[in-house]
Amino acid sequence: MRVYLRARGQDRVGGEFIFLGRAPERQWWREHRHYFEAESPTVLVVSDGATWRVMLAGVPTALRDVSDRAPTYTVVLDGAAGDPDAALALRLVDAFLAELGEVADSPRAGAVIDAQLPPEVIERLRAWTLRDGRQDEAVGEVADRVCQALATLPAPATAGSAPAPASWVSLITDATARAAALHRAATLFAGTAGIVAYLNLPTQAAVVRPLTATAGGAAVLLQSEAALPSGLVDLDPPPAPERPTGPKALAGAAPARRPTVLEITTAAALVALAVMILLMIF
Amino acid sequence: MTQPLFAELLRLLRGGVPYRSPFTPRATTTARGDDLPFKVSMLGPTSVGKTSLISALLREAESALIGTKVILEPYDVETEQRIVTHRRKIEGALYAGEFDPEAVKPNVEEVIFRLRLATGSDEVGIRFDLLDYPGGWLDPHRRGVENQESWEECLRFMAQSSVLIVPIDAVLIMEAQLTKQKQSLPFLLAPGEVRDIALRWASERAERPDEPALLVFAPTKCESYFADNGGLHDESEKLYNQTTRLYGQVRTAVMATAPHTKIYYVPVDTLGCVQLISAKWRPNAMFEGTLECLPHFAIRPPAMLRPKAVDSILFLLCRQLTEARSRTADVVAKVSADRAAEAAALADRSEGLFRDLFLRLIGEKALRERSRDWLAGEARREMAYLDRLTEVVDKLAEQPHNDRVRQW
Repeated sequence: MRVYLRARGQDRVGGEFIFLGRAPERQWWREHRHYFEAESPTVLVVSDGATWRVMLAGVPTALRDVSDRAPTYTVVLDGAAGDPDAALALRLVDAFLAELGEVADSPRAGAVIDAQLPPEVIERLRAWTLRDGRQDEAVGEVADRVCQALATLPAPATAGSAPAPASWVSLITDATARAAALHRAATLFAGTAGIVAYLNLPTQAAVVRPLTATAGGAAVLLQSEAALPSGLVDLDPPPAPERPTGPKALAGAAPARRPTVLEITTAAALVALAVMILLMIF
Repeated sequence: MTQPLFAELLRLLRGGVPYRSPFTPRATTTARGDDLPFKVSMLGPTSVGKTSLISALLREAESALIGTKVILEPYDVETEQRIVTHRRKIEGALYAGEFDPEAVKPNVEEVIFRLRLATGSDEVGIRFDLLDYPGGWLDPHRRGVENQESWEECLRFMAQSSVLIVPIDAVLIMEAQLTKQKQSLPFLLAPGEVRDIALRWASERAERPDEPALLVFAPTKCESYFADNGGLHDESEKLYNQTTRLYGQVRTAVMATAPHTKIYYVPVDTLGCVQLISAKWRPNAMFEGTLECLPHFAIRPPAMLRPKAVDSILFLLCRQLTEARSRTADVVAKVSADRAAEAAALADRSEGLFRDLFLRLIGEKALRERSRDWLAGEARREMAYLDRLTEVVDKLAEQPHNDRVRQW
């Protein structure tokens, strides 16, 4: 499993968000940017069946920068299907979803990272990355520290989930939906294609419907203010049977007829007559 | 085979006049159909108030534009959701009774707000996109290689922008008293980087003298330096002098490159209900020898948002874009009127008894009359649209500028 962490420094100026050590080769989450604000909590777990990727944005931290602003972490993980370290990724997703769902006494994903990466360590890793040319060392240290942090999170209950539609949407505060999302995430880590997401901008199911085009379907959680009924809302209900209506159906029912010889001759005679009249006029 | 021949014959009959059937799709040259968005960019380093200013502009648009016949609204659902989220955060922070810096989180990535100015019953309006980005990207040493590509896109967007807004942290300018603090200002406000990008923008504007070019210098966090919005002291002249001194080079370079640029100085209160309590300076850990400023604000009772001069930026922006669209509409209206006149001349032309009879028989006369009526209607619509825009431009021009605003 590869680990990437984006963090802000303590300085007001010069403390901009950067990935410590190295950034992912491709910022793949950008293709979903219209669904979330990168500054606010977001969860994306994506799998094509062979590899999986996780992006958690807006992970709150207890740290404050010198302006007393609360920076957030962005955690990016990726690996191959069946990677044993995926269990750590699942712990992180479980903890963050519980935190976003305001589950009482849930472990805080940001807090365990804070514990492993105190401000002075972040400053040192930032300096290694930006100034000192020690990116490779920073990459190794970030991976070690983040994995240690994730190992302190409790393992999620792996009990099966109730049957769910291929693509569904629900509220983050719905415990059943969170369990279903986590179950789906576990299958993605194991090698099933699909997407699991918590998106902070949409407030209606229709907005996220394009995600159903993702191979393997989409399990989407939205913020508690979203206008959704309780439970899992099927994003991809079976289409109603089409009734043949309109010009297309008529055209299909009656294939075009080829003109007869008589019709062609008559048309040619009429054209010849028209040409003669025109010649007379001009 | 017969179709081109017949078309050629009709063209001869019409005397070579360009002809547009009422049943063909609308031409793409109508002012209303021309839906490419204008671009508006913020230009400034980190923590100067870019996002706060955007948030204030979007928040204040509804009330500020009452009576102007213009409505500023999100163009897509994503932008609408972003605006709602921003508004909730700020209002929530103020409702809690104290200014929570967490309400304005530093940007992680670039964001484009897609907006439109709706003018009356027009179905399209005037679209414009507004760019925000992490200000630290201005400095290549702090940008991070992963953000290079995004930054280049931002640079392209800024160069193509019709309007450039330069937010400037007034607290930094006003609270830098000691030599070392003043020496840190170029590091904190990056006027050199601002000048380079503004110059690139001006070069693009110079190549498009017919397009709008508006540059707004907007000192932010001015609540404590004006006495017109609950502040105790009026230090507005000092702020103006210091700002123009620091950014004079930017102005000079832009005017030398694109003399048609309109430049304004608009100091704003984005919140209006905060008071600077203290401004401490500390060494910057990453850049030796430089200081950074840590301002501390308190909320002025009754903790209600009372922005100031934000509406002036809105008026300038709306007027600039509406005027630009109005110029396009004027050209389109003239073209439409000419085409309508040509169609009318063709439809009403007498071509002799036999030819008229023949044209009537084959339906060409009726087609010409329909074309005349349709093009006349189109010309009327374009003219009405132009009139509406002119009215809006006039209304916006009537809006009194805030006393803080100066043309620079």
